[in-house]
Amino acid sequence: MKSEKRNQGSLTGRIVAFVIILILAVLWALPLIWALGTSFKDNYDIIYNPTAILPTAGHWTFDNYTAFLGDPIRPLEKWILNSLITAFGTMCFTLIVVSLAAYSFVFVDWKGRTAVYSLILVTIMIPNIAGIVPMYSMINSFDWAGSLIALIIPGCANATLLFIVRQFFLGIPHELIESAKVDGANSFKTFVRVVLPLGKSPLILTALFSFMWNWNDMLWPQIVMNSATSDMWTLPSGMVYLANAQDAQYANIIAAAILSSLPVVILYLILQRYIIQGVSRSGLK
Amino acid sequence: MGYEMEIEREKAARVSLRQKKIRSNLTGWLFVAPFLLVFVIFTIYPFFYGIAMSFCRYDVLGRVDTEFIGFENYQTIFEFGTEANHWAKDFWNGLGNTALFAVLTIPFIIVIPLMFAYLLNKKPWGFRFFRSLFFMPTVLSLTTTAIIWRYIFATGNGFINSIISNAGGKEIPFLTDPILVWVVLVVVTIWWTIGTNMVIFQAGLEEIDTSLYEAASTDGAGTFSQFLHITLPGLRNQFVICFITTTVAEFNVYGQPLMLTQGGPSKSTYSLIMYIRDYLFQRGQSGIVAAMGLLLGLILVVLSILQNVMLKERKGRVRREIRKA
Repeated sequence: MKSEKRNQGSLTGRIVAFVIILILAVLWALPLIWALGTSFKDNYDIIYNPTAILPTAGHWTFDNYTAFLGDPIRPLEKWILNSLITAFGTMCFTLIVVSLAAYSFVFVDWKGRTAVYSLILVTIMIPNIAGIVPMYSMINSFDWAGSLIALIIPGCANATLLFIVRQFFLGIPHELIESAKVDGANSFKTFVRVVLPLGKSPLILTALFSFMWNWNDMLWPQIVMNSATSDMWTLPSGMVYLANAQDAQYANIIAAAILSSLPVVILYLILQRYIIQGVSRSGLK
Repeated sequence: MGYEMEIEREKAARVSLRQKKIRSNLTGWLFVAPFLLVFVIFTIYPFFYGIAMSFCRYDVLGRVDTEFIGFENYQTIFEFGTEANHWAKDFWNGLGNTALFAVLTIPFIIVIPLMFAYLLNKKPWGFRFFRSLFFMPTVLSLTTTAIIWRYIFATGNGFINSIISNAGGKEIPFLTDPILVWVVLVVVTIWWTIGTNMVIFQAGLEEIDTSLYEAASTDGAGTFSQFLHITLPGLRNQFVICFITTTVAEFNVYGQPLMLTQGGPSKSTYSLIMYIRDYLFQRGQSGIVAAMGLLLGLILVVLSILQNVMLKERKGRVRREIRKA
């Protein structure tokens, strides 16, 4: 607290910083506000008032948001549902898989532990794109092409998240684990009753980032859904398709784009403290 | 009698110890098994499989029998000047565009977030709100971001061009002009991604010991000199992280050109990953595509290592200078 106060610097410094930041903030907010405003414009305003930030009086409408709902070729609501299932599924599997592995690496003594962990860490360096072609082969041989499971499972063993959770678990005193075991709890019970409650903050991070990464991933969902019918798609495939649709009104497309980011924006508004902390402390991206 | 009992007890202890060891080995592997299984199947195995397939004629959908062909795929990529070979042309065009995009974008994605973080660290009124605002685009998906900006830059009734034509000016073809498309791609990428580096830099700035600044200002050092000699060296670790993650991100560019320019005009913004995605399903050609992906991956690994070494090198030099002083 004290250092924060000292960090504040001089009053002139604060005023200058404030003015510059205010200008930048306007620049940064303008596209968002214009898009939000446009998504509520009716046809008249779209054609005659494209520069208006907000719809003019009497030309507000909610129709842009409902334009693609129930559309047989462009079922926006199905894409959103599929994306929700995928992101939520990934989040759950990631939480389970990563926390179990981190527990094993920190609290259980087993042969090969260090070797396996080093191997996992080394592979963080390998860019995803290097393996994307054979990844598709794997999916195809499992008969997962065009299915949501192909978007859920492959990403859940995330080495970066494992690293972060393990790092946190290392700070949990071993005595707590030992005393739980003396009380007769087996490893699984110790994991659930002692480690999970203590490791809440890295696990929230894991949940958040696995959800957001999955929600915003673009290339892999497009590849997986390459030959699937449009009702199986998730948002990335759908939005690219929509954006290129010649017959669609652009306010409709903008409304769909806003709708498609709503879940992550809501998550961000509620949990931004965790997100910003995760980024600044662990370099998550 | 007592002696034998002692031995028995010791044996039992040893057995139970061994049992304990076996048990903890078993538990360990059991707990790590789900992660390891997925990791091996979808990360390790595809990587090596990809290397193998880059030496084969192969098809991801299995329509063609896999056949070992040595370095032929790589030869194709490195074979210049043949009219019939679009692979080399596309690979190098894609790689060139990708590299150009990275070179144009990376300086901004380092300097602008640094500037924002520096300003925020002056703790102006409402800095938490402003930080949230600047970070906000980062959580938007690329599709959402690109769609918003496409209609800002569009001709017809796009936002900027409407303002221009209302003022009586001539429309500017932002999304089709060979030079302006790069401006658009860079601007959109800046708007979309500065949040991450900004937050990283800001956390770094907060860790710099304020007594250093106090000492410097009593020595008569100005703001700029303080920035140069205290702030920048103090952010060394943040620079390493930001440079490496930003380079990797920009070399993976895919969605921005796909949605904003469709890779145009005349493929001048077509990125390597766009080609990889286009050719992935082409009959019998997945081996070349795998080779392309591996080459891009290799470039990224080399760049990451280089940056790590170079920035660490600088760290050594600073230390030496301090020691000299």
